[in-house]
Amino acid sequence: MPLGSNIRYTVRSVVYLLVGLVFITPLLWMISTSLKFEHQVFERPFVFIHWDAVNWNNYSHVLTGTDFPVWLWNSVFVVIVSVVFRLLLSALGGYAFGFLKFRYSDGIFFAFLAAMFIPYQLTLLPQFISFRFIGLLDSHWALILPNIVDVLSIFLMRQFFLSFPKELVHAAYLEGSGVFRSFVRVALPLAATPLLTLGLLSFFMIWDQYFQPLIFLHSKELYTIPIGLQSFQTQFGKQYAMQMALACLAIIPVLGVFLALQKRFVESIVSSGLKG
Amino acid sequence: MNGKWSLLAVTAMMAFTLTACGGKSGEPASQTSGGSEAQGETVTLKFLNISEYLDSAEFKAFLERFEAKYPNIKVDPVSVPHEQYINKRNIMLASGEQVDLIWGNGVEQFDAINKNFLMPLDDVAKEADIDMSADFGDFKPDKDGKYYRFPIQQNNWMLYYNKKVFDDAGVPYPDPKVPMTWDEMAEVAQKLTNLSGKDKVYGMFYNNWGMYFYGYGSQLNNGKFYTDDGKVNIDAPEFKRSLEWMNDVMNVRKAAMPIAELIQNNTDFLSYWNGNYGMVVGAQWYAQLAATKKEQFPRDWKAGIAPMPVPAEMAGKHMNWSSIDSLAIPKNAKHPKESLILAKEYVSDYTLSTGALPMYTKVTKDKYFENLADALKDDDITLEQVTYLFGGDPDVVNVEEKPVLGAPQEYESTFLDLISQYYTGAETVDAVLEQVKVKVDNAIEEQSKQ
Repeated sequence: MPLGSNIRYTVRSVVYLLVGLVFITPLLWMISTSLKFEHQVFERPFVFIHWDAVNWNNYSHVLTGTDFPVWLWNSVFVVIVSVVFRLLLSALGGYAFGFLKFRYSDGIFFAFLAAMFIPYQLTLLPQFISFRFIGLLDSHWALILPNIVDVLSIFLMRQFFLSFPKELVHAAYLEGSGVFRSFVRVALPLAATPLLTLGLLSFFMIWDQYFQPLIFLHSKELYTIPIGLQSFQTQFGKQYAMQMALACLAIIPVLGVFLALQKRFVESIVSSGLKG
Repeated sequence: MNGKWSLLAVTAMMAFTLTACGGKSGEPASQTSGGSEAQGETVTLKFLNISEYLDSAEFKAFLERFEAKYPNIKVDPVSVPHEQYINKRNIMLASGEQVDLIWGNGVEQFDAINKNFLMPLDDVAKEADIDMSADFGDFKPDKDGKYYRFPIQQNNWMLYYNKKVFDDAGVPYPDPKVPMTWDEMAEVAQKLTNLSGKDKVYGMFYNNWGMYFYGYGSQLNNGKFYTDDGKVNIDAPEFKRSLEWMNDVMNVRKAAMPIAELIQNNTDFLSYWNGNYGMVVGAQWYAQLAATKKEQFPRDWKAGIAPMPVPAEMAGKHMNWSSIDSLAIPKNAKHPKESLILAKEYVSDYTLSTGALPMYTKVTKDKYFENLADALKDDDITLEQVTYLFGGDPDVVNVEEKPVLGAPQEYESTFLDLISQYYTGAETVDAVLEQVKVKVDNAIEEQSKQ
């Protein structure tokens, strides 16, 4: 290998390594902290793990002394229901705005888009009052309903359907399919890749939501993981070691989903990038 | 075939959704309007508090006792992590949501009073057989001669020290009864400091909280954080002297961690218990959270306690920074009388189990001191010391721990935002205090217009 290529290869490897370190460091800190006692969390000099005194009690406390299983179930439930309905509605909305076109569709779509620019904090109080009025406060529906209609997701699906080959659907029409049937039988299967990407991104986004469950839920048995994470907090400060133990356990489902779908996720990102 | 599978999937999804989608089922909302314990009528109180108090096993046990004692009063606890407590409280109260009882520290409750969220307790206290002027010791009305807060507990501050650090430096322990002056503390801290080894030992630990900087000044001017016309008084000479004392310890004597390092390291308030610090001024929560929890905070050194340091002018006096946690009844509460009954039982029956001493004078305190002394006996701390420092000294001089009246949240956050500029040498103490005054005066002005 020529000298110039060698140097380039080395520099590139070092840069990759450094970037990798930046991303992996918080994860390592989280694991390290989860195995420490509280007063060791910010010790100097930093010790990765005190091998002679690993504190497994943080994990046992999280698993047996908290409502972690309940929070986990609530998170999984809210995320799955929200993502499934979001994908369905986004596909329908995107198909309508991007493929079907109808009178005033562009105007309606831009009105939709405008909603993206309203800061969430502004809508929080009206949403709270509305949910109370219709009796959804302190139920998981208060989290699911705002999540299933997502303007950004509809926008992304619209972009996909804008470049969708019309011939395929027209062929379905000729064979006697109606609008809905041709959507289900022809358009939806071909939209699997963008829907998968959208599904994964939505999963991560909804899984991490903190403010909505905090405000809309009152009962502890309905809390999700992000709220549970904050329960290791006193008015004077946080109990980082236990919080990190819970965080380590809480990322397992997220990692599982990502690892299971990683290959298709990366492929879909690459293919959508090439289509650009 | 595909159609059947789709139908099955949709049916399963719907069943999953309908059966599992949480809502609190089977629990009635508040069933009656108007405060009443009349025969057969049951009221449900919505009680907003922070997670650390509502999520404990002790609170659950208390609720069972309470509901057995008052079968007509049910409690619906709303537990919120402290970091977001104010946001949730504000949204619930501003939206008109029924909340019957709320918890808050001094700053938070005065913020609620300023926002006009709370109802005065004077009349309803009489109905619940509570004498607000006598049942809580020296507790004064909150605003316009009216009581809005039902006091739970007040902080009891003291000096905690690490006997091993004192032994290693050959320095005698602080007197258990006579407080050091702040100047004496600075000298001792310097003697204890050893920055040469692998593990640095600082003579003094502090938290990046306001009272660690202005608290000495509060002792000097009796907690006068506001001028008589309600403006910010942080530029008073007493506070300036207080800030300069801290600068002397931190930057001249090098006996406390530099503030930039403290902030950069995200040094937690519990870090004191890692053993690398000689002394810290702290309240009863250090005993509650760390000193008595040796399984969570294992240590090979003994802790000692002594009275909080005082200014030379106050030499010999037992002083305390007073901050009162309390319960309060929002204006949109449906059952004020029952709420106050719950408040009374909360301080009588539950607060002791949190490791704090209730201000309610009708509670027997001896057991609290005995339990605490027992938990600290391995540190050679006696019942007499515990009684004296943890709230049993009737002669203790209380001064305000922090500003609570006008724009208290802005006061504290602005002060902490700007104060590091002084300690890092970027600004003079006068310039920093002036900036704090201008900003917080504006906030107070804005608040008065609302």
